[in-house]
Formats: sequence, C-alpha cells, structure tokens
Amino acid sequence: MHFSLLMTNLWIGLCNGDRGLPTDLHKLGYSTGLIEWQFVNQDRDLVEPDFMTWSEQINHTLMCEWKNGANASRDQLDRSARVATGDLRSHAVISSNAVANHDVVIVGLDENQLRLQISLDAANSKFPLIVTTEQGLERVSQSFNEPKLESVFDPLVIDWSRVPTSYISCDGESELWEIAEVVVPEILSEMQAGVMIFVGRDLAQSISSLWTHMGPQAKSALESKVNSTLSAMQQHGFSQYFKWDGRQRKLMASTNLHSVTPTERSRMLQRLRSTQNKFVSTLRAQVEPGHPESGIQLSLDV
Amino acid sequence: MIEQAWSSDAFPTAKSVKVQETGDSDLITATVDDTNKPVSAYFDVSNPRFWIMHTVSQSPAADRAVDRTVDRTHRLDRIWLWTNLLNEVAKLGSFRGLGLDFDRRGLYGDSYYDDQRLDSPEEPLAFLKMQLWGNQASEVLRVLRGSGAFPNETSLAKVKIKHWLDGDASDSFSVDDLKFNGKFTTRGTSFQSHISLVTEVIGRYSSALEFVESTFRVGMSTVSEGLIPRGRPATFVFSNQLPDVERVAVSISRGAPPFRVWGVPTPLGKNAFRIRGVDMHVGHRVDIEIYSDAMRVFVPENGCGNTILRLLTNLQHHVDAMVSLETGEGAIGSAFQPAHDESVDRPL
Repeated sequence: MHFSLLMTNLWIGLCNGDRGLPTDLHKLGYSTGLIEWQFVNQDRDLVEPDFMTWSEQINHTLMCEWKNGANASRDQLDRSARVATGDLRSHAVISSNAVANHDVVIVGLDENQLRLQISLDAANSKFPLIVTTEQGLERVSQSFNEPKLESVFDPLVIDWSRVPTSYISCDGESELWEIAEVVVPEILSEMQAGVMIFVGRDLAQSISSLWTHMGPQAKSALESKVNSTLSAMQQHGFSQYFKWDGRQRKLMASTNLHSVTPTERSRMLQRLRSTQNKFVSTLRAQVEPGHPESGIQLSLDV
Repeated sequence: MIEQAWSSDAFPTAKSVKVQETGDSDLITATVDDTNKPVSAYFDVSNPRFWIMHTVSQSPAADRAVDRTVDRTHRLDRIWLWTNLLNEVAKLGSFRGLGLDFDRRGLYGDSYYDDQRLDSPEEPLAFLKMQLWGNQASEVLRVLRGSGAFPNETSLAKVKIKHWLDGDASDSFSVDDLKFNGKFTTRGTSFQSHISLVTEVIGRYSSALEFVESTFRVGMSTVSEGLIPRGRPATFVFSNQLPDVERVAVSISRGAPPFRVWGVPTPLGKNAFRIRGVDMHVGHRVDIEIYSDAMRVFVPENGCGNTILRLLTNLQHHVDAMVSLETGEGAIGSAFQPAHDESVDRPL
C-alpha cells in the first residue's frame, strides 16, 4: 500500500485503539479523525492537513502531513504554521475543548529523513518530524507543543503487519494488484444483486471511499486503473465468466449467479477464487519481484 | 419477499408450492409438497426484521424448507446464537439439557489429521459433539469447560429449558430446545409460554444486532470540508494463538457454509493475511484481516450486522469455542464474551 494511504489507515487505527497496534494515542483520547480537512488559517490561506485528530481529554489537536517524497513545500509549512487556536475552533470546527494547544507533525519515510529535515530547516519550521522505520514511527527532530506526546514517538513501536488496510482499501495511486484485489469481489458483490454489466467509473466509485472527495485527476487515475484491471482479467483466466468490451469500456458477465444450480454456483465460485488468486499474485509479482506468481496455496481447501 | 423465497425456484421438484395471505396482515401461510413430505408453515411477520416461522410438519422436511428458503434470497438469513447468548437464554427457565457441537476438521482438511497428529497428546480436539439431558448436564458442561479439559472445543450449540409464563408453580409451560441457528423445538401445555420465550430471544438478539450495527460498520462521510471516517471493525479475539493462520484464512474464505465469505487471502506478513471478500449470503463486501491472536472484520455501512454475528457463532463452532467479540476499549462486552466463568446451573 502506498505511503499516504498506509499512514491514513494506520492513524485511524491508532486513534481507534485497534488491537495489535500501540494504544498510546487512543488512551490520550484522540478521535478517529478527519481526512484532508480544508479550513483557512488566520491569513485566510487554505490549509488541508492529510489527517487531523483531536483530544478533549488533553485539550489538543494534532495535524498530520504525510510526505511520500523527500521535500516539504515551504508554502504548505508556512500556512500550517499560521494556524491559530481560533482557526481550529471557528474554521476547522474542532471542539473548543480540544484546541487549547495544537501540533503539526510531518511524517515521512526514514530514507528521506535528511532531505525532509533540510526542507524543514530551510522553512524555519519547528514541526516535529516523524519517520517510519522497521521498528515503527520515530520522532527524529523538534518537540511537540503537547508534553504528553513528547515520548510517544520515541519510538512508537509498530508491527507493520498489523496495520489495518481496510478503512480505505485503495485510491488512484494504488498498484494494479491492489485494485484487482478489490474490484473482483466488488463485481461479485454486485452480481449477487443481479448486476451483469460493469462500467469502470462506477466500479471506481464503489471501491474507494475517498471517491467523492477526489479531484478530477485522481478520479481519472483510479478509473483508468480499474479499466486496466477489467481489461487484464481477459488474459488471466476470467474470460469464461466475463467479456471485456474495450470500445465501450464495459465488462459483461456471461453467467447469472442466480440462474445456475447451487452445485454449479459453488463450482463457479471455487474456480473464480483460484483465478483471482493467480491474477492478483501475477500482477503483484510484476511490482514485487519476490512475490510468487502462483499465489498462496488454496489447495488447503477441503 | 416470502413469495420470492418460498417459490418453485427454491423447490424445483415440488408438486406444489403456495404462499397465501390471511385475514391478518402479519400472518402468511406457506405450503410445499416436496418429495412426499409436505410442509405447512405460518410466517409471523409482525416484526419487519425478524420473522418467525411456525410449523408442526416433520422436522427434516421443515429444516430442508427453511434451508431452501433462506438460501434462495440474499435478503433472508437465520439468527445466529453465539454461546453466551444461549447461556443467557438457558437462565430464562429451568435448565433441562444441552447440546455441544464443535468441529474444526473442515477447517484443516482430512489430510491434516494423520495418525501422528491424532496420537499426539498436544494436539487439540478436532471434534466434540454431545447431547446431555438431565439434571447433571450443567455439571458435565462445567467439567468440560474446565481449564484442564476442553474449554476451546466445548461450544454450546443447543439448550433445553422448561419455561413458564406465570411463574414456575403454574401448569402452563413449554419445554423448548433452542439451537444456535435459531431453531426452536417445543412441546408443553402453553403456546403463550413458548411464544414469550421466542419473543424474549428475539428481543435480546435484536439489541445485540443493533449494537453491532451501530458500532462495527465502517464508512466515510463526505462533507464540503473533507472526509470523516466512521465506525470501527469488529475484532474477534482468539483464546489461544491459531496454530496455522493461513489454513484458517483459506478455509473461512471459500464462499461456502458455514462462513460464506468468498475471497482470496493475501499475505501481509508472518501469520497475517488480508481477505478482500464478499459475504456470499447477503451479498455485501466484507474485508477481513486475520492474525494468530485476532481477526478484524470490516463490514461496510450498508452491510448487515448479521454477518458479524454469523461469523462469531461459526468461529465458536469451528475454530475456537472461546473466541469473543471485542467491543471496544479492549474490553469484552459481557454479551459477547465466552460463557466459561459461570456454568448453566439453575436447579431443575
């Protein structure tokens, strides 16, 4: 999962107190959060942190910026620095019991630590920088305004295999195999409701909970990936169940799940499962060379 | 909807299939004559979410009719009574007996249980099925659930109780067997007594379902300022580490009964798998993240909370009798925790 999406899923889980993740933030009373929340600062400049969460328990708001790359925009840093308590209350509509103090935290990849720090220093930014390491999340510079957060990220130990990835399963930056992982079950789900024709754009809207907030470019990227997935299904064993019309960009199911006998349905679902297993693994192996193309062993089935 | 479910499509070999309204808008009759074993059913639809099907027809034929009807439409499901709820129901009357049913053989496959494994004293029980009637039933249950016995395989599947409407001195009573799949078998002197028990069970189930649906469905609200994530996944907590997470992940995602989730497990790390799936009974998407100690289930906001209760009940019957549903803050809500601290021990 790409960095920004992983961070959003992770921090929702951290605030929710999901089992298997450290409970520090949850115990401090941080809420589930807000995503890409737009509001204006005291200069009437737009601020849109990737993630915001607040705690009435300790009267604090935390704004998070994910950095996939090695640079932090000076303009963005300046705008965030000009957020005042009143802006959080009046414009971001955060509870007045959670705005006595606030922090902006930059979260990036460990490999980009040095360059991110340079960007922050160049902007005279005092925002804490947290990086993702094998161990978890580690604060590498600056301090929080909120003293209770000071030691939380020193480091916050995380088992990365336990990070939830299902609050938001995909977006326009997801890999094709991640899209395929979601698209085929979505198709099956809609077939259960009697749908037989599938359009890329409609599927894109169904599979990503971020859709309505996405800009036109992001929507186009996701739709394009969905169409690529639908087209690729033909070459990867799905052609006995689906036909892709490249001209109309539609996928048509050739069998209605409700019109076959229970035995035929069961066989069809088993075959679709094997096909999906191989399909996702093949696509994944194209971007993760170590990943086996055969997928996991479904022959454990009774 | 009854006409759709109780139809010739559900009973293709039946001589006749009929659904009829009565003078009461909450009562519908349905009959089917299939394989020479006719079934007459009376559907009480006064509760729009929970229908009650009454029948005096022979049990095997009636069971088959229910199976066919429920399987026919994704808008119908059974209620799924997890062990603690059955335990609570048993306290509503005088306890007369119980049934246990645990079977993990389907999870691991026939080849898993070779001689070496079966001879090993460390290997947990694969299958435990028992019916106990009589005043010692609760004591036997307590022993089986003891720490040195088979707590992880002792899964309550049925309870038998004598229930009175007006206090236990009355001559008006029913003796009810209640199974984990929502089937009541009853005899006695008072239909009212039986119905009051049914109503009580539905009430408790309904409250639990309401809680599950208000707490454990995941979604996203979009407003002009941005996005607000809502809800949390349902987290099932296993009492012991699963010995083989991959096997469990593969088995629960076959799309077949009892779990009915279709999907392909994707490895997330050591002993960690994700299933982007479909609940093949009700048709909505469901995502599962499974680890050796727990399982997160993400049901969408438009999904049915019964998926979670069906998973809980079937995990208790096929994976771990002591699996529980974590209700938040790390706490296990009493409605969802395994019933092992107190036995069913009301005197007869």
